[in-house]
Amino acid sequence: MKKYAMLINLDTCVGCNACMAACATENQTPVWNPEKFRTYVYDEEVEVNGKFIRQFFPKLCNHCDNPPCVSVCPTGATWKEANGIVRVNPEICMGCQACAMACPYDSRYGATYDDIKRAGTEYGEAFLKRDVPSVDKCDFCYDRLEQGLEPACVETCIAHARIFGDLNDPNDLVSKAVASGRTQALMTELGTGPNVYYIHTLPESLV
Amino acid sequence: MSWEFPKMSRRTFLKGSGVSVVGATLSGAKWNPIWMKEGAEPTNLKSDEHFVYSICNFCSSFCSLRITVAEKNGQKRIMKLSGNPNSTLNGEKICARGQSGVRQVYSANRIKTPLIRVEGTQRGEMKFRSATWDEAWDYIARKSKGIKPWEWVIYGGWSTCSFYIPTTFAFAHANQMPNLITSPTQNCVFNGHFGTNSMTGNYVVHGENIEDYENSDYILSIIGNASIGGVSTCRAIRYSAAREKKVKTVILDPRASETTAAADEWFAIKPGTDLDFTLAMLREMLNNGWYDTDFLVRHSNMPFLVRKNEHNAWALYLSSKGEPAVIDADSGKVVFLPAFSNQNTVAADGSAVMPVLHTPTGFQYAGESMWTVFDAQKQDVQGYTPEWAAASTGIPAADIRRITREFSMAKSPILMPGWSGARYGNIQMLRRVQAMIQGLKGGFDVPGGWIFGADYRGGVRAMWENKDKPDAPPMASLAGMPFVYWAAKAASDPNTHPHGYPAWSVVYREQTPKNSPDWAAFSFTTEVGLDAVVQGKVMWKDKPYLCKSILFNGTNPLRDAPVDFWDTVLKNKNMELVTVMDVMPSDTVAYADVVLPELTYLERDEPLIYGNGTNPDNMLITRYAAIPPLYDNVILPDALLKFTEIISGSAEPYYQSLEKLVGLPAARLKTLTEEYRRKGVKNPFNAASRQVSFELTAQDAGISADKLDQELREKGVYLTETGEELIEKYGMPRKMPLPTPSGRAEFYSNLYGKMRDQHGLWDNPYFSVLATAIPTTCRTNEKKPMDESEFYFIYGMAPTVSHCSPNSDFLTLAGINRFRGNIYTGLWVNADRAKKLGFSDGDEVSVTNLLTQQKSKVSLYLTRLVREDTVFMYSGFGAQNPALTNAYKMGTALNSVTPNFIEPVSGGYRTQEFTVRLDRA
Amino acid sequence: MNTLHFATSLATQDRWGILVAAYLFLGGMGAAMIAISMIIHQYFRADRVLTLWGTLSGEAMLGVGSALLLVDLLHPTRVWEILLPWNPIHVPTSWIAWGTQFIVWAMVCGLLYIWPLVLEEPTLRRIPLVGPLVDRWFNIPIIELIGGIAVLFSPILAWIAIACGVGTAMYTGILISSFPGATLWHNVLVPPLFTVSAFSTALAWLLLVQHAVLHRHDGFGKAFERVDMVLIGIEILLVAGLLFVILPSNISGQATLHILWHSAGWVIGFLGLGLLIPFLMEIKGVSSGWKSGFPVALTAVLVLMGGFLLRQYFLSSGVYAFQWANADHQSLINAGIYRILTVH
Ligand SMILES: Nc1nc2c(c(=O)[nH]1)N[C@H]1C(S)=C(S)[C@@H](COP(=O)(O)OP(=O)(O)OC[C@H]3O[C@@H](n4cnc5c(=O)[nH]c(N)nc54)[C@H](O)[C@@H]3O)O[C@H]1N2
Ligand SMILES: Nc1nc2c(c(=O)[nH]1)N[C@H]1C(S)=C(S)[C@@H](COP(=O)(O)OP(=O)(O)OC[C@H]3O[C@@H](n4cnc5c(=O)[nH]c(N)nc54)[C@H](O)[C@@H]3O)O[C@H]1N2
Ligand code: SF4
Ligand code: SF4
Ligand code: SF4
Ligand code: SF4
Ligand code: SF4
Ligand SMILES: [Mo]
Repeated sequence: MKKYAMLINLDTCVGCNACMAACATENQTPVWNPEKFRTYVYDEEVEVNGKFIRQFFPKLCNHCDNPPCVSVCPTGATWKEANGIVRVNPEICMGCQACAMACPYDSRYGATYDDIKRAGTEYGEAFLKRDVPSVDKCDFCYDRLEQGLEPACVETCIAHARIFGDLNDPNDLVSKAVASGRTQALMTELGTGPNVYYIHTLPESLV
Repeated sequence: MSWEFPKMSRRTFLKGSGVSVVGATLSGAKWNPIWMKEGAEPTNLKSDEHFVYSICNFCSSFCSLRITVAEKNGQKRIMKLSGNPNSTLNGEKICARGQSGVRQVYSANRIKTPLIRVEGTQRGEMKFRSATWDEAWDYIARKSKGIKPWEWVIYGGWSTCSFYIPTTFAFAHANQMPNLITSPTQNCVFNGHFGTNSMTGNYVVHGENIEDYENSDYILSIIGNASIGGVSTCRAIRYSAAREKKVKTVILDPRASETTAAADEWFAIKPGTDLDFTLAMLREMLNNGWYDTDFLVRHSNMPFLVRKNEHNAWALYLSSKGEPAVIDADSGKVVFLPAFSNQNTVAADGSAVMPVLHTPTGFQYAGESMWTVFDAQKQDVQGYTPEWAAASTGIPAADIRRITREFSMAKSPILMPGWSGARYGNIQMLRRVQAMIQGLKGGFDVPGGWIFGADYRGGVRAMWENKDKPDAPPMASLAGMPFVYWAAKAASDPNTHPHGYPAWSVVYREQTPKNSPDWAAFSFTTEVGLDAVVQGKVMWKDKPYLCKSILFNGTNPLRDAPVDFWDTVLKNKNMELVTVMDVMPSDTVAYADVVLPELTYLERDEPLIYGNGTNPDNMLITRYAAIPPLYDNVILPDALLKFTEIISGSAEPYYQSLEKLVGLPAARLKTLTEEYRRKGVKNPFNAASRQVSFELTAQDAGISADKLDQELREKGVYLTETGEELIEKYGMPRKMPLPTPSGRAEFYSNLYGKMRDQHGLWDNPYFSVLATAIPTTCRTNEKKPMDESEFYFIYGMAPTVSHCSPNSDFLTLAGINRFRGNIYTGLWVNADRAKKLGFSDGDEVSVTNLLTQQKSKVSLYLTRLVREDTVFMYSGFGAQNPALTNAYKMGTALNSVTPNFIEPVSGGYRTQEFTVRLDRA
Repeated sequence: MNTLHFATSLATQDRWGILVAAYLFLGGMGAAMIAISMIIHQYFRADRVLTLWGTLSGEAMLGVGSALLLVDLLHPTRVWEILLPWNPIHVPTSWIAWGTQFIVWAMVCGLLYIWPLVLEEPTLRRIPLVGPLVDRWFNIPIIELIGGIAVLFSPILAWIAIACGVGTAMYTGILISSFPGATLWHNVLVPPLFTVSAFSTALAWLLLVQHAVLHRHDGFGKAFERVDMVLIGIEILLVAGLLFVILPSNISGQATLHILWHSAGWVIGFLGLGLLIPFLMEIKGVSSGWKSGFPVALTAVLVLMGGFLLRQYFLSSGVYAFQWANADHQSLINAGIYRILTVH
């Protein structure tokens, strides 16, 4: 069994947003609302030792090992698969958004009736991947994985900053990076067990 | 009087040179394209999906596409665009704009039918009625009656430059139209690349240089961002590969760009002073012996002898046959070399020579003091000490020294050659000096250096191979600067067309005093003088040389030069017909009399087969329509054919020009067009061109047209030769001459020398044959201290917008732009300075150009990522056409602030040579 | 050595707004009210009128509260899934799943419990216009039969309703505390606080009914006041514990504190008018009594208002501490918390 994870190299990300665009197209997200992307690349200004640097910071669902979003869901519409992917079934979800409240990473948004209607005109009624309102989030591009493809954001990442892998394969690049102890996940102190790892060395000139 | 291009008839090019291989060895470094997946082809497509291969259409990076198309109930729909994993250009990767291209096809705002301006309204009002194609063509036929060929202007954007030069040039030629403008010439490549290319002779729109970042060990970027991080995918992936290998990267930029975010060192250099920085580098390198002597001796004109001419300006010492002179190391004698060659070790008489770089002190020849180019240049740069540069750039002298040393000590450093250039008058000189510095390290066509694109290299090869065939179609047998010279000559020569009119830019230049700020020596395919022409102020043979009709295709100049300029030009009463061909209702569309919608790039087959743009590997590519057209729209070649019928009375001249200039057989083209037309194929001429192109290309590649078609359909690319093979055989200048006048890397510039001589500009630094300082003048009184509210103004491209194009209207991109908010659409102001002025983040303020008094409103983005004395804005926002419902008025239009002052060499814009004042709105 | 530096930025949510706050308020109070009504009827011989008032208003509050939640759902018709009694077995960790069952069964058992009382209550049959209809329905045999059976099982029904009522009151707090992102929510004091508040508001409502509607000044009123005073006392301790111990412990909590101390609605509305004043007034009422029913009714209204404000501020002031900025630039700068660097 695989255990999927993502590694993000903060050193190479150039903030091009190709990942956001690829994800939005692949997953037909309601892009007309800038708050409804499955992944974001934050554009930040950070002070290190009195100097300022620009830092891009991609975020997406962490596919937590102990996902609070799953434990609060009253319908079972969101669950964690054995391969590590936390998914949402729009056919079951009633859209209470408790999961979105529970997610400490802001990884979920609600797709409303209006969103679905607009999606019909933008993405083609007959070609919709989701036709009922529900909460939505990154699913590591489940359909693509099934087809043997990498997640859309990873495939297109201009800077090879998003790297997809299998933690159960010790030879996998992501596994090796995680094993090296040099990666870090977000807010692990909450006990969520996130599976998106970040790696970063600051410019030598600043440290 | 008219521009005369340097005498380089193709016959003289290769004389005596041979493509000999002397000394130059290429280390056999393999490219390691990590963005290519080893053997990865996991495409269990869903049962109702299939792939179509094509090319992106949103910038000149030419990325290869793999399109996923779904089919349901007999309906086809594009689901997604990806990079083509079979292409070594961009692999499976494409940028945000490339990803979002599908939104152009399905955009509700797309122009769906021809539009005709409503009677009684003014241009710019955007009052149109839908029309049929017959109505539209009738309208054009009616309006264009009586307009003379020279009164037309054909205006194309970057896509014309990248894809449709043959199609468009042949069209202009067929209809005897001398006036052709391509907006990138003026605002993009010409201004910068002219400099770079004077050194290497290479010229093609963005394809001449592809930097081999991943094999480099030191990268220095100067005035560059979009070309890497902002993003040109094919370069960005290579840059990231270098980052992964921890290659040291240093960026000069007054603000922290995307590239800066992925770099080791960022120097917030003072705007407009980069030339000083590079001159100091040049001085340090020359003084410390930090250069590749072998390369300079063998493949550059550094050893050539120069002297001061009667105007006290440097001039090459040439034999009566135009041969350059060098001092032979063994004999100490002066020896003449072939005028054209890629190497300096065989004298004109065939004997062996080994030129020296350094002139013996007090060296005299033929009674004159002489120096090598190397020594002359070294003398000239002695004033440019790091301390001198530190004073203007604000970068400490110690850092300038250190960077120069690190760069020089690196094995294969890359000085990022820079891309769009229209910022300051001195950009050409800056890019020249950058090329010189790269040349000092011998870094051309070597692993980890500047690599020339394979497609382009093929063009140069063909040029050398055709050198003895004066009748070869020029557009198929000229490349690089020689092609530019040819085209410029054609435009400026009154004898090119029977009517005797040269391009008005030439006439305008002749009427303008040389010391006027509106004069440019080589204003080829630029709009310099257009306003004067429209107003009837330019005379040719005692009659006003008027411009009465403009045909815009795939370009949006209304967001480029100041609005006033276009408003004046397009609303002038002399202007009788404005036609715009586009897909989206751009701001330029608003000024049209008639709008011709083109099919989107995903709905059309391309008329030609291309090389793979900026790829060291030679791969053939073309576009295949992914879905049937959504609307009854036209494709450029058929539109131009129709225009030819209207203007010249028949399509015949177009066929003839295509044969004569491009080498497409007219008879076959005609037959096929008729055949397709009979079959009811929409846009039959496009289909015919494509078939002929397939036939010719397949023939060259040694396969059948069907086989080529099949390969391209299945893979999207057809590899003919790899970059390594090509460089091994045709590396420039080590194996094959560069397309410079001398075939060598020209530290002494024959190009600028020619212009200098022709116009007698002996002490004008813009036309200096050697590197020299040119100050940037942003303020009328540079000495006066800047007010608290005064700032330098700079801009750059946003990763989500192409130039000033309506793709900011595509939903996905508009969503991302809204998410980024003021970072993208606001004006970056240093937070500390803003505080002093009492401004807060998000404040609406007014910004005034202190030289032109152009005034605009901006929203502030306070940040520490920009110099204190500088404000920065992303270009590409501020669309003013309400039909662009998603992008309308998002942000501020760059050209509401930037001017169109020009520099005197090629008429490129100085879009940053001014300061602004910020006031409370 | 790890050189990863994370900047932290703070954001509040706007997903769950006033409708959910009202749901949490009405749900907790309504469920507590059913529980209290069952207890006082079963064990303290409360009369029919008081019991009916308590239970029926509890039912109404649960009904309205749930309806408000329904409106807030992205896909309301899907709600049937969580109404199925076995749903919690599939999602045992979901407090909404349990809470829904609590609500359903508190409502069902409460209703059954009072069924006989309803049938007996003459005022219902005297309501103008609908009275005659009610009269006819109440005489339908099946209705009467249910009433009869309900009498038989009344202790069991009472206990189920009480358990579910308490469960519902607690659940509203546990639900909030299962959101780990914000310190305000994710701590052990929240469930007791919400439970106590639910009962305190329910008592306040009953006091209001006693004094403003039924105009009674009997022993129940006194008892309600006493218990409420104790509950509010406990609530004050819980709130103080939250404000002075838990929230200052980290950046999310500190940011919440910042918001709360700068909100008049919280400081004056909740702490002052909703908590302290009622506490003082109830101390006065319990120790020396009031001359009229008005101060009691006023106190009750203040408690109710406080109960709603508590939920509203809880939802709107929970601060997520994101590593790397999620909030917009302006609010970060304004909050003075931009570029906080934490090295992990
Ligand atoms: N303000 C500003 N001006 C600039 C620049 C900038 O960054 N800001 N950059 C400069 C540079 S480097 C360059 S290269 C030039 C480029 O300048 P242009 O070549 O004018 O490029 P765009 O502004 O992208 O405009 C392209 C136009 O083509 C249309 N178009 C898109 N697809 C098609 C198609 O398939 N068919 C047709 N017929 N039209 C199509 C678009 O809708 C758009 O209106 O701009 C220069 N000028
Ligand atoms: N997203 C996007 N990418 C593109 C394109 C596009 O339209 N959109 N177009 C493509 C084309 S045609 C071109 S020509 C290239 C252009 O590619 P670039 O030439 O790299 O263009 P810019 O984005 O304009 O980058 C210029 C950078 O120079 C900085 N700068 C401005 N003034 C100065 C100065 O005085 N000194 C220094 N050192 N730096 C300065 C700016 O802050 C900016 O970061 O981009 C290509 N890639
Ligand atoms: S595609 Fe890659 S490089 Fe571009 S913003 Fe996303 S993560 Fe960063
Ligand atoms: S990141 Fe959020 S949505 Fe994703 S698994 Fe973790 S808690 Fe759930
Ligand atoms: S919104 Fe949907 S997925 Fe989320 S908790 Fe509610 S039912 Fe579950
Ligand atoms: S893995 Fe797929 S769904 Fe998740 S962010 Fe990337 S593209 Fe979007
Ligand atoms: S860099 Fe982006 S816009 Fe340019 S060709 Fe490639 S995918 Fe298209
Ligand atoms: Mo460009």
